[in-house]
Amino acid sequence: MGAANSLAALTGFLMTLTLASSFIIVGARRLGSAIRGAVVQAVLLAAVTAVRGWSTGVGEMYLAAGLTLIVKAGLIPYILHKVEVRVGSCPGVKSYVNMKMSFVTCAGLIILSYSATARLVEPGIGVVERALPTAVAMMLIGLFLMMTRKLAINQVVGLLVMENGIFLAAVGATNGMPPVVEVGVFLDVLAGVLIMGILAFRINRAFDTINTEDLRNLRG
Amino acid sequence: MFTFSNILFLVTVGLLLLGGLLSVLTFGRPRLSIISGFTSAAAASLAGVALGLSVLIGGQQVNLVLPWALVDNSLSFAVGPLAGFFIIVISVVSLAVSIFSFGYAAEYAGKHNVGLMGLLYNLFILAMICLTASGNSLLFLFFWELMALTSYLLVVFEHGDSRVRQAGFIYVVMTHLGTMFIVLAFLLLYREAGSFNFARYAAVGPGLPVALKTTIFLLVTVGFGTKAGIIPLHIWLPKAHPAAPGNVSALMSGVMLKTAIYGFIKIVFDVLGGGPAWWGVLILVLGVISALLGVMYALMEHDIKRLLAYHSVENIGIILLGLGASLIFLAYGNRALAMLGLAAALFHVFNHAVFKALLFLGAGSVHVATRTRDMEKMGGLLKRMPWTGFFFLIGSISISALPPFNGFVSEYLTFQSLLQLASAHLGPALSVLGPVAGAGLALTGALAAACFVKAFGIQFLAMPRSSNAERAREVAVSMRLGMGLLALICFVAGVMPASVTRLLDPVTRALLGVSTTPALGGYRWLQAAASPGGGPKVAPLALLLVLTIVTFVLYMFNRLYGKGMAVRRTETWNCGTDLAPNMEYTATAFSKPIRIIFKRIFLPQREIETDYVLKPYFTAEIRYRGSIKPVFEDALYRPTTRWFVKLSDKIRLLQSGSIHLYLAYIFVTLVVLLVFAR
Repeated sequence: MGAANSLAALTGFLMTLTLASSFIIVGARRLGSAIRGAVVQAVLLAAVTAVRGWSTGVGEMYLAAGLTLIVKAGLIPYILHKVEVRVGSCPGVKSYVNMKMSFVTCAGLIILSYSATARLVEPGIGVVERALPTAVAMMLIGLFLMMTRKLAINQVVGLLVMENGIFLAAVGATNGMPPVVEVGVFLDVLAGVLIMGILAFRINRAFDTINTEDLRNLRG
Repeated sequence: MFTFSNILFLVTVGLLLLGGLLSVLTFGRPRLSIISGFTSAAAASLAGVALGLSVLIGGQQVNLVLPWALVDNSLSFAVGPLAGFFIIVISVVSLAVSIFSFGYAAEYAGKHNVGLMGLLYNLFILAMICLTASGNSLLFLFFWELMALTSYLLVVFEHGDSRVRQAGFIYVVMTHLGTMFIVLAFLLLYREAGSFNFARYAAVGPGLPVALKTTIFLLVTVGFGTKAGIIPLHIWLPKAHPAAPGNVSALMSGVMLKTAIYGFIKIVFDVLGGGPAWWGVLILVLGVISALLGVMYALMEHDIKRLLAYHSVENIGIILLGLGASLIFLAYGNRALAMLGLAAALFHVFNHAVFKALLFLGAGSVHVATRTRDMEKMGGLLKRMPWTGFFFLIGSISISALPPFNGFVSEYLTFQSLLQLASAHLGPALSVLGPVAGAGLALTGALAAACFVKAFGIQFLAMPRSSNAERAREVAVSMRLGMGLLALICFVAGVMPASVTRLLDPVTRALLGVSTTPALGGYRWLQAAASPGGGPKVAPLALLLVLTIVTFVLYMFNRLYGKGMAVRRTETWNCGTDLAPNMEYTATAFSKPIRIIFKRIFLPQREIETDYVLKPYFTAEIRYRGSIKPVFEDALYRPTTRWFVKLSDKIRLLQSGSIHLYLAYIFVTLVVLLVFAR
């Protein structure tokens, strides 16, 4: 009983850290630090998954954790880094909303997600109670990042945060999904990031910038 | 499963698919492509005629349930008597048009992709036959849209011309607008019937509340009316028909419009089982307006294909007259007279299909020979193209409703059903309406005759008005064969109307429970009566006999007392100058009296510019430009389009082109939903 309790506490703590790591990305001043923030978040997510695997005894969770580590903390940041290098020197993160306002908004989003999910889960039913608001908050923060950041690579990072949120919800709410689904999800994200990476590269070649603001010119 | 009718249906469909496929596969070799594509189409049409006859005469209906289902319905083909009759109409016309196309499509070889034309042509016929054969409204809509799409692609076949593209655009917009109303009607019926099957529709249809029935009736009237081209929904017709290749306009005007009439009869008679008397009055009034305005606008046209397109509006109006009268009688429970109106309408469907296809093929031949559609540039073609001229004349007499051709018979029946409205004691309003509509039909017939005196006279008689007309040569044998077949049918249906009214027997029995024979008479008499034996009669065969005898007597009289038919050939005296084409009566001049009589309707505008050598008596050049006001475009369509364009401009503000703004829409929606959705 004691062990299970402390495991639940550990899971909750790791989840909070995962959510907190979003703020590294929100607060990043350069592209490189934003990508590093994504790596930190992916590592924490893998840790959450592994602990969940331990506490539920579902073997597939370890597989999911491993995949998270390889794909989200390894492969995707590597691709993003490559694109960043190919595109050339990027002068910091460009945003429509300044840093302070971003922090305040994201804090507001967390409050919103807690109040919204409170209606859905009864208190005291386990990990879901912590996982769901955290996950929703991460999705909203990811969307907010995609919405406000001007550079294409930064939007990919926003997408990653959203995706991490969805993954967290799955890990927290279920006792492990079938491996087929997990592998499928990872391939999905990987393909998505690859395509967006290539697109960002192409946008850069066509417009000499990866600032998506300039895509407006395409409108007929 | 494998009854005779079913097999014929499968053969028809299979041949059409095969023809399309072969045609497109061999597009690199135009001759082969034309032969394979149109031979299959002709063979399929023959199978289609056999299928229709097997359903109508053999009484063996098609019933094919497809092995897969959509939504909760099994998809099925079901050819009853009504569908059988329309399949005959479609097949007869497509047979003649396919034969015509051997020669006609050869004109396109090398310039356009005839393989593509063969594919679309076959698919177009396939869509029309399958939509009439559909036993299920989803399948019906699928083929309805296939028909719209293939015909659109055929309309814009010569897409190099911007006017053709514009005509195609208007067509595709109008036809989709119409389809929307049909879909709504079908969905309303689905809600009541719980199935998309027409049989289920028909089971619940008659018992629906009147308000719902009226809604469905109005929806199908607008929906099918758009395709049929009733005024004021007709504007696409005079644009699309001239733009399409000749063989395609013949199919579109001859049979595609009729599929809309099929849909209307299917829903209003078969499914809803008729309704209040004012439905019939509405259809009757729409019919009179379409018939009169159609023929009037036709008179003002000098582009031969536009002229014919307006005549399609007119003839759809005449068909609606019969249907309207039938609906009124049905509302009063007089099924025998309702049969008369319905039979008149269906007969006219057949007749119009045949003679309008004939006229469009004639116009196509003239276009091939002279490279123009402007009548003012033709003239003297009868000497150069005697066969085409002869067949066009037969078509002209038929459409002018003169004996001994088929137009006369069906318009006579329509007249009778309108006059029966007066004598059936249905109340004073209807007693007046019937004869008034009859008078409208009479005026329509007279104006149509005037119009075809103009069309035939200006095109084929007198001297050529341009060098193109002078160089015109008779068209290929296959084209003459196609026209000849239709001309023959015009004649046979005209002198032996019983051959068609007998075919209609199962149709009226299925829809109204009343038989056409002997009420409509047999081969000797054509009669229009509620009871066998009574009512006014006319004898087409005897009429033919009288006509032959009178002609013979006149000929003999001339022979004996005239100067023995000796022709003295000499120059026409022309005040001392040579005869020149510009002295001829023009089409514009011919229609001038009618333009003056009906100037309140046409609102004609004209400009005259004169250049003088020496004022005021010596003119160098006079330019005349006349036009009539496009009332419906100006009053109805332009304001509506302007309004929509304005609205769209406002909505377009949402589409800024910024990814961030699009994401913001999602973000805001999400947050608002999270906050407020409970």
